[in-house]
Amino acid sequence: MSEDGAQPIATPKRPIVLVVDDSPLVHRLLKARLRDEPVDLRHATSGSEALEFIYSNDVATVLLDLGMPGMDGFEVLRDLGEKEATPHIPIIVLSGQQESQDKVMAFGLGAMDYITKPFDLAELRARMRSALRIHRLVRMLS
Amino acid sequence: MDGSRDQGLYSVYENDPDMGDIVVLFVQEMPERIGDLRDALEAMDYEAVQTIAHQLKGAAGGYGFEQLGDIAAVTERTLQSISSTSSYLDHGAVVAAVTPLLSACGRVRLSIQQAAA
Repeated sequence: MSEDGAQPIATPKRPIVLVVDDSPLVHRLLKARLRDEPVDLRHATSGSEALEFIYSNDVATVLLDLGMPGMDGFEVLRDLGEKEATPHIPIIVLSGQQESQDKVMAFGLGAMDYITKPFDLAELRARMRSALRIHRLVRMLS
Repeated sequence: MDGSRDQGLYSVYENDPDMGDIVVLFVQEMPERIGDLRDALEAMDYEAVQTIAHQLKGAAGGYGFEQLGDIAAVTERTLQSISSTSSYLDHGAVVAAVTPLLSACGRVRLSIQQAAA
């Protein structure tokens, strides 16, 4: 801290967490539930909207639904996996699809984690913080 | 568990300071959601029916309506089972599967204090 107190302390930029889900219920819920987290929560309601945002912003973690009309979560994962610019973004799948084959496919396409809905809030927070930690570490290494 | 009074389904998060507002919205929007579900059934738009059940399964518990989420999950599973065992969808079977969900949606309520606020 400066002694004269004249220099404002720079507030560290909050990491961007992008929620991708076609259900407004989920966006509203996460906005309320993650209010106290030190993150900049953003929202996309479709796969294509999510990709557009990710490719033009510095996203630290994605919470991704799988079952969306149009471009679904698997296609988002596939697209991100093909782009060299984005492999360091941790993606947590947040899906109502509980079948093992969906989980295997999501991990195969690059998801870092998989949480099924309805989700436990404490668990979601812990996993999101872990993803943000990994993102920070990867950033420091690269 | 939802507190059940007068067969109503009440949110366990109704008095949570972070959740109160969005629980109120969830309940206030329920008639529209019921209308969408009825419309989809009438139009035999089973994909839309499935989507509404899927979304309620994923979100209702988060809003404190665990029982509604459980009923939506059963509805979704039943609809999946109907569509996987038959080459055409039996409208009567779909209606029967969705009826408990419609009934549960109709029982979603705010407590007297919240409704009056």
